Amino acid sequence: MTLFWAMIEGLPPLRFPEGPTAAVAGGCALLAAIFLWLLVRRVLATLRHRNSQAANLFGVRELTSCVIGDGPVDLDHLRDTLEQTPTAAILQFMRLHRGAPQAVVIAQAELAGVFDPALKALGCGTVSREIEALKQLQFARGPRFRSAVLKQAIRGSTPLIRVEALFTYIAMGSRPSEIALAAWIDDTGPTLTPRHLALFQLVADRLPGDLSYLAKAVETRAFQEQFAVLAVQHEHLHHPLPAMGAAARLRAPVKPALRIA
Amino acid sequence: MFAYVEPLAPAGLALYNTLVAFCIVVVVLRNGAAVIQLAVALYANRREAEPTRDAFDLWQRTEATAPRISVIAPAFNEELSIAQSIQSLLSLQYPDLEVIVVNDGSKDRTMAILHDTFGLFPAEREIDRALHGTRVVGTYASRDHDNLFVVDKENGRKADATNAGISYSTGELICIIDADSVIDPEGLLRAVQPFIEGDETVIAVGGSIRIANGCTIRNGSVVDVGTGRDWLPLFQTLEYFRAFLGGRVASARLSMLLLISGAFGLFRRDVLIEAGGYQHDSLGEDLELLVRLQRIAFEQNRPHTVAYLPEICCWTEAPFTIEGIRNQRTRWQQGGLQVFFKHRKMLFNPRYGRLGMFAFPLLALEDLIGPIVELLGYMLMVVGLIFGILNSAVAILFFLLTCVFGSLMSAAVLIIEERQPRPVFGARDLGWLLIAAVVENFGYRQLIQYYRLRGVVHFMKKKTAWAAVPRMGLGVKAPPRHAGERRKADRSIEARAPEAPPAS
Repeated sequence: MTLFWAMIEGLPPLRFPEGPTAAVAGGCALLAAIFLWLLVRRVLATLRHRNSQAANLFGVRELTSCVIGDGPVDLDHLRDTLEQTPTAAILQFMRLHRGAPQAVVIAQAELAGVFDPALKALGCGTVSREIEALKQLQFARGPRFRSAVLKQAIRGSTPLIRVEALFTYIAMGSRPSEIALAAWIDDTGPTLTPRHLALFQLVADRLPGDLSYLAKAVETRAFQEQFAVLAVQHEHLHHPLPAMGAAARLRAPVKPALRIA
Repeated sequence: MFAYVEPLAPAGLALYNTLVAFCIVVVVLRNGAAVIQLAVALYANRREAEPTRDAFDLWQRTEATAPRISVIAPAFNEELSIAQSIQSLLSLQYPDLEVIVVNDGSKDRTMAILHDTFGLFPAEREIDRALHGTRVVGTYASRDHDNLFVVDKENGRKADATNAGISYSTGELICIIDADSVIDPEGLLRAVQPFIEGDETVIAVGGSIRIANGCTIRNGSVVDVGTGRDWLPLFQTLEYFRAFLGGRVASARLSMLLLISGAFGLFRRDVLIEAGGYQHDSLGEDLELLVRLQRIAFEQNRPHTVAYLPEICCWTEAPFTIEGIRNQRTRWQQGGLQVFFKHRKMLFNPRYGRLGMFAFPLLALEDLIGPIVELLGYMLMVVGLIFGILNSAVAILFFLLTCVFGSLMSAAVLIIEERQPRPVFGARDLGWLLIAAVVENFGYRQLIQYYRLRGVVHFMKKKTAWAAVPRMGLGVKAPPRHAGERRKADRSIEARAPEAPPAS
């Protein structure tokens, strides 16, 4: 130990160069600021999460007591409740319930402007915000919401938004026109993906009595798979050769078209 | 300046300066690459759509077109956890799922427990191509779960067992998961999205691996996220964050991903079969597999995509002892070097695209040159101080700068972690992680570099033995705190740890 201290005492005083010292000091200050920001943010997020969970639970319970029960719904009371309930709780209620209770809450929520922020967020340019807004709007039913969502399905800034918007549009109980659907298919690129299958399946499931409409849209790009739409597609393939040409471009199999040819 | 000995001769000084310059170039390249990766990860994190948090949404979108997934779970001497692990896999949320358990010649009651718990009965299944090298003793189906299939085979390495599972699988997609890891229930629904939304070029999807030490696990799923208070798992948590939220995100974004962790990955079956499955003789079989799959695709001029989704979360147990970390890191290093030299043809070869031009050189920089240069740097620092070449104040400042840089990198990935759509740590755990981000620079990082160097030495000596990494078991909150207790626990765990598989 004595030798060690003797060596230390023998050392000349350290002279730190100014530039690197400033860099280290600046780095430490930045680090401290980030650490503090992260911690404060996390504490606030935890508190907010706890409060919002409690508020959402309470909100869903309140809405349920307003809507479900004997006798007619007290619309004034429901409107008041909607104004005081967080949007997340209203959406949660809509998820949990179907039929008349859901319909009455949706109608009143539209009047109370619950979906207006989501509508405003469409086209804001931030992908995550737009997707989140579309998810909220799947419960809306009013024409202005439908047209806004359809607009996004056709002119959304990214393919992801366009796909989400079309899913939302169909989930709203609407059906896009054949032209819109065909335009959307054209817009998603040259390759048919399982995503297209999912979309057509969704349309077919929701509109079982109107498959000819779907078939017309499908015919546009000679799309086929083992779904119920195939039979209808057969009927609508009046001109098989152009369809085959389109399918060749898409690298999609067109068994029905081949059989007709 | 202060010198303890006579100054170096001019030739020695020139050599010293050359070596220092080389070290500085390597450090600048490595740190530059790390900064670029982090910047890309931050950009991707800000720009890309926030993935849905809702399993219901995922199910609704996936249900109609979900390709069948075969989950392969190789098991060796896992009588303690096998029933729970398989129950956990069977309860994964996915519309069309098959679980294939491969008993890799266990010497304990693993097979008996499988028989008792799942009501197994002999069942035949035809295979189109056998990828495994050892004999299959029997195959079984379950009376209780029609999507469970068990393959009982002679002992080989994990790679061989996984290959047997691939051979017997019927799914279009193969999910490889460690039997002792836990994946979020909606993990498969998330992982399959690129296969559904993308075109047929997607060949593999990876997810992030998280440290489960300190978490509460109930019925095969993580119910409470925590870090614990032990330094080693804390340091490793930060390392995993840097790797899985920083490096991997950037690499995937730039089409340069070389590794999908063996703990969790989803692959197209036809591609795996065509490539011949895992290599039996590799110590880094997961790295080797993805490099080989991509190499084949490049050589066949086949467009291919490897996707990486950081929001998929697979929880695994980190080694909690120095010995465990030593064995693990030594093996990783050996594996990396094996893969590098096996596929060295790809290095700076434009035929292999960005993989050859950027990813492989980075692998060389990290795995081959990095550990050697790091050790050389420390040696040069000591030599410089002794001979009075290096100003001690500059040396201290340089060291502090590297510490601040390292801590800033950790802080940046913690910012990314904030935005992940999954339960995050509480404020107290975050505080511990922030402290660990500073403390790890003083000792832990240097230790890891030493183990990596050890891996280089083992690689040069061609040592291929697979040293066991002691585990406590998932859901066990904290390892023993005192050294004596810890050693005792190690011994008891090693007694039930899987034997080192035979070296090939």
